[in-house]
Amino acid sequence: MKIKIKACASVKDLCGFSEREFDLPERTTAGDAVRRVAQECGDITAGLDSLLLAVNEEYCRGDRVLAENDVLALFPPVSGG
Amino acid sequence: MKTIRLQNDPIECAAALAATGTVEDGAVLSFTGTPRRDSAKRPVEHLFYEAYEGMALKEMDKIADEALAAWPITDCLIIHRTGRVDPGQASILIVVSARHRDEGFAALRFIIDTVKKTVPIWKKEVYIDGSEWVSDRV
Repeated sequence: MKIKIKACASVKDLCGFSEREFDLPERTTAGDAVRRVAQECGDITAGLDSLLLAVNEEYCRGDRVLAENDVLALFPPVSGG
Repeated sequence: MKTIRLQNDPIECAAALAATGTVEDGAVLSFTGTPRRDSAKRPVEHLFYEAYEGMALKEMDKIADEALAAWPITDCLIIHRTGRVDPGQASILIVVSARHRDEGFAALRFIIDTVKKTVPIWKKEVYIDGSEWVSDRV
């Protein structure tokens, strides 16, 4: 199934892309998808306390099961304000 | 009334303040966040804000709804800058109005504290000789 992975801020710099489509097996979780990105791009959490995840613009955990055309966002702890 | 916005242009703070509140309100309170010149180990030339825009607007909207539900405030405005922000400029403006100041102060405090925890916006400090993402610890 096709899903879109979006990377923000320092995670975008580490991934080397801001948005990319991935073809992943059915029932893939958000955590599986992060491991797949790390296989290709190396350590995408270097220097971070944690990596935050969101599916279709809502926060989620690593065990969230993805569906076709989901947008999974990977980003560092927020620092706005 | 609820106003939620991300914008590249400077925030017109005085105009936003004047437009917030009703004749029933006894208090219009605001919080303005501004980049510090010396927030890191070296002088900051300017900040660069990146937002995951769709999600950031949704999270800001949720925070405003929670504040409007939790305190008797009438208006709630949250504007955050994106792109380059120079020291001294407003990076965020929050304005609330209420019949009485106590609930306004409480709502204002809740809004800025929650924005800093949940809204997907990140700042990069830009120095004369480089730059660095600031990652607030969770």
